[in-house]
Amino acid sequence: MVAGSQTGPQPDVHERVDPDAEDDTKVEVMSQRQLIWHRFRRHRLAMTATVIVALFYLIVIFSDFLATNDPEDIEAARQYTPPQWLRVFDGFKPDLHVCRLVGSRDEFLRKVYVKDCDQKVDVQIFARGYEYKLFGLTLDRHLFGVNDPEVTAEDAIFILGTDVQGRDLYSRLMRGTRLSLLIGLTGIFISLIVGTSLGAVSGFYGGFVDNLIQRSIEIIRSIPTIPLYLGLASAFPADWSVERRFFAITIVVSLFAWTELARVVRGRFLAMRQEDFVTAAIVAGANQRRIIFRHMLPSFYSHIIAASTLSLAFMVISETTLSFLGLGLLPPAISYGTMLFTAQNVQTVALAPWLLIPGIFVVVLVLSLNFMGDGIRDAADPYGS
Amino acid sequence: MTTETTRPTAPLDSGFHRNDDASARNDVASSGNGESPVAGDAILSVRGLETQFFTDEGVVRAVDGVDFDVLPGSTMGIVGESGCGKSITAKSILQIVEAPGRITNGEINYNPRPETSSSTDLLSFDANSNEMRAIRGGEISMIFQEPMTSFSGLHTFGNQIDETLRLHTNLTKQERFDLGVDWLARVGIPNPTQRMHEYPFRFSGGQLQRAMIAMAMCTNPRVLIADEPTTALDVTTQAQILDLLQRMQEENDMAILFITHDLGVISEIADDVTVMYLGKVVETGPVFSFFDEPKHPYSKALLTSIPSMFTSSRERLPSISGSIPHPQNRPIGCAFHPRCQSFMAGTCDVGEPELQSVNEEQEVSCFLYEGR
Amino acid sequence: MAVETTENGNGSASLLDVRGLVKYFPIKRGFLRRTVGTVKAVDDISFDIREGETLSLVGESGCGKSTTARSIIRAYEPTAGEIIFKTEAGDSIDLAQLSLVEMRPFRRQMQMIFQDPFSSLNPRMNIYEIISEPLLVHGIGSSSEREDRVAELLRVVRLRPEYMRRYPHAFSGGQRQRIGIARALAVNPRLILADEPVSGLDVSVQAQVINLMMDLQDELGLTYLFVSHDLSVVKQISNRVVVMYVGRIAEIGTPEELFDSPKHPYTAALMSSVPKPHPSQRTKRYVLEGEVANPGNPPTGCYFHPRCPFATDQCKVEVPPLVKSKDGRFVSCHRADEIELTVN
Repeated sequence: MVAGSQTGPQPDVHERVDPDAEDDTKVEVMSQRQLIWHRFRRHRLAMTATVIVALFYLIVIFSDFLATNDPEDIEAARQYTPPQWLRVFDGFKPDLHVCRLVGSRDEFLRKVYVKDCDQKVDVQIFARGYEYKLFGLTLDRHLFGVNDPEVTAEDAIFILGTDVQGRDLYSRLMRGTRLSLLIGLTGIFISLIVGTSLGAVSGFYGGFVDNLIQRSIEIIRSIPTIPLYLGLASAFPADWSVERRFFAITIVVSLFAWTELARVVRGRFLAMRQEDFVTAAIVAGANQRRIIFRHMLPSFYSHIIAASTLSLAFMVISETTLSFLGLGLLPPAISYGTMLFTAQNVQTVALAPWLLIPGIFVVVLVLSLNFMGDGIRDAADPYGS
Repeated sequence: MTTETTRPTAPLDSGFHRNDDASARNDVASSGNGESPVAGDAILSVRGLETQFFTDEGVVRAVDGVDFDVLPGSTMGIVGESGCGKSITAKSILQIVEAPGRITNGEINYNPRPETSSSTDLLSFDANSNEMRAIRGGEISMIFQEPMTSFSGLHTFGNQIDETLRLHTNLTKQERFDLGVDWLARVGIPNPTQRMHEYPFRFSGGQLQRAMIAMAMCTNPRVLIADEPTTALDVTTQAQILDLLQRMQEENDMAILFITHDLGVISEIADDVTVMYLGKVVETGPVFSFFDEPKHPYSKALLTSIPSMFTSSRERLPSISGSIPHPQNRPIGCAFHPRCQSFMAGTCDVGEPELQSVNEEQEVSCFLYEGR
Repeated sequence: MAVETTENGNGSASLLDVRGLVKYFPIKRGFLRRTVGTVKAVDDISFDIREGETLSLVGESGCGKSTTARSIIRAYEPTAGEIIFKTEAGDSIDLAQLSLVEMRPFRRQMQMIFQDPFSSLNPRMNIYEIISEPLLVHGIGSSSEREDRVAELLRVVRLRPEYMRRYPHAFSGGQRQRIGIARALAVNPRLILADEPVSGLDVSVQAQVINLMMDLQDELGLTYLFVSHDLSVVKQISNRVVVMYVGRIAEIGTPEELFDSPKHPYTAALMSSVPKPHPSQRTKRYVLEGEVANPGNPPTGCYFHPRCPFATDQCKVEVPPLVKSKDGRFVSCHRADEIELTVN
């Protein structure tokens, strides 16, 4: 349209292109996503937390590979074995081993174990063990373990000890991480779909629909959770399979988590409607679908990720609580909650304190998820420093 | 259509006693005789002030060697655009710079009795010391662009003014209340007694600004620092507030340090002007000399590029090229050189010019005037 | 209260004719969000914009100037009134009657520039995506044609086309505002609504943007509706000015008429409040008493009467219509022909 605009008279100095924009610093050519990542990386606590969360997800995928014993193997002879820490050196010579535990009964007929470091149990990397399936393959290799699949109780290794039935706590923890995190992930998936769609409808259309959704959220959030869980759990028949129970519990924990997501999404939509760039898109003639999916949603997907991360922590805790109370997953399913369920008894805890190790896993995971969520939220603020 | 604004002139019966009366101070102010002010005359004399921000990306020199003087009973206007460090300068005087900012160098000489030249360097006090707290809000008060920042939403206005007075005076509770009512009336807030019992959110924008001025003035400060107090206001409200500030200054004989980006406001209220650009003073001098004969190319460009009521319609004004660099990417040499019409290659992009006198009243930091 | 808009002095035709425009916002409270009142943001205003001119809307915050602009472009739904737009084909269309879908083709002819150079550009889109969006949604050109067009537009607003793949955060406020202007120009509009386009900019950058807007007007024959609270800028850029107070029009006139011989007491007060450009012009300020009326609960009669030194009993009850005064100007004041006003 303005062919002559460049050759025509340039009345003043502003044709000199701004000097401060000429040097191509790295930040200037970054996209918003790169910028968020750039800011997130500088957040040291959040980065550490992210690495820890990533390790947890590696456990989800490779739980059987990481396990040393079949987590469901029961062996009365090795009940309440204390942790046998993995040793990397023998004197100054590298040698992966554990000390053999010699079991006997004391005068009260309790099982006691004595560590005998003269008798080493050699531990191999990529040892053969029980068979499991990974990505459709049947495998029997494990990250480490005792090579002989027919090991006796004396020769087996239990690096975090065993429970009352002589099951290997470490291997169960790997398996439990998988189930607990899968419940969280499935729950997030459900809450994301319900929460973002209801939140978007509420925030974008407003009016009566918004009223209805917001009041429902308020009512749901005002219900005391434990009694509701009790009621719901009692409604699940006891003869349900592990899988059915798993999905039922997932839905129960999502019931609350979606409300938080819906609020975040609605709030962002409301704020976004006032943004000039959204008005600019309307004025440009963009239709509603484009305005929502091209302009509004991308502007807060990082907020959704942050909110989901925080909800994930909430769900892991919910599952743990429910199963610990015996309302959620039931044995033989292995999760953080069912593992802690076995540590409900004070005497048991006094006798075998290592049974509380799953609790440490929950704390570390939840803290890491929270730090990571906060870090994403801070990094996602486009004009934050 | 001029209407005389009513001026409450009733003497304030308060717990304050001033040793020096207004006329004595005015003598001091005029004794400068047009000469460039020496530190002894000034009530507030800032020398070599440096305030730096220690951020993750590096050190930002927000205020980088600033000198100026505020004379008793007069108004010094500090004018500059975003990033020039004018607000940080104001906060540095009261030592209320937020972390990661820190005052790294300089002197702030406060001399409440200029005739005795017994000044104290405020920077020799710790930010949290009793001395500094007595000065902050007592001797030197500050008002802000956003009045809500100086009020708590949880306390009534009366409570807050009472708190200030308790800190800085020995008045009884009843005296403090009466003084609060009196000040609300003096800043032009209707029903002052009733307003004392109300919460800040009940005040409109203009009223909040007035209430903030009342709160800043109630301790009879010698210096009032006004940080863009009219920027968020509409023109008619701005006129009200400027009028109020000038009235307060006349009645109480105090000095004002007025910080703004608006040259129109400077022309209305200031006696002297200091122009800042990227943390440095580029020009300082009396307001008339500044508007008649600006010296620094930046001052000249600013004055010609801003439309006024006397700009004829559809007139093109010369503009300044480029935009203000981020303080972190400060250009080497004179910070203004990439945008300067009088840029001299090999000089302006190499060394930094010093602030120096060009005549009896004006000081400029520009190589055009160096060696004169 | 229709104003005879077509018979204007210089004979040029109106591009846009706003008649009796009303925009109320409901005030909602309580659990069920019941409407408990209305904010009369724009309350029955009429004016016209002539082809090729710059018409400014001025007034203080809350006077409805922005709402007027956004209602014209249908970013807000007008409550009542007619917005008659002369299309390129010469038809007159009432935009207020169109559904949002019917409105879409007309959006090519009117575009908007925003105040905040930060929030008006989507931070997730690069400059090419931002400027080409109007072209894309109207299905104009192939992707390479759009790219050429964006490069051309960037040159028009004096930015380097190589910057096209950068994101908004890499630009300064003035540069972003020029990107916003390029976006508005993309579909060759005839009318541009500029909502405080320079208020968010540093003073040293404002002149660049104003000069650019005036150049573009000359080069492209654009018509501007310029919304601003800065009277000096308005004086510089406008052909005619509409002064608004609490959702109503106080006065319409050329900048010279309004600044030199205002007819409405509010105009006089507003002009007198503008800081003088030189300290030698300091005079006793005319200080308007009181506060701007609340558009959610405005006074009766003339909204300005509680602050007006000339108010009579009539002003307290009767809304003054916007009428042509003796010397052919539009004023809404009962006493416009009796009182003498000067700005000092």
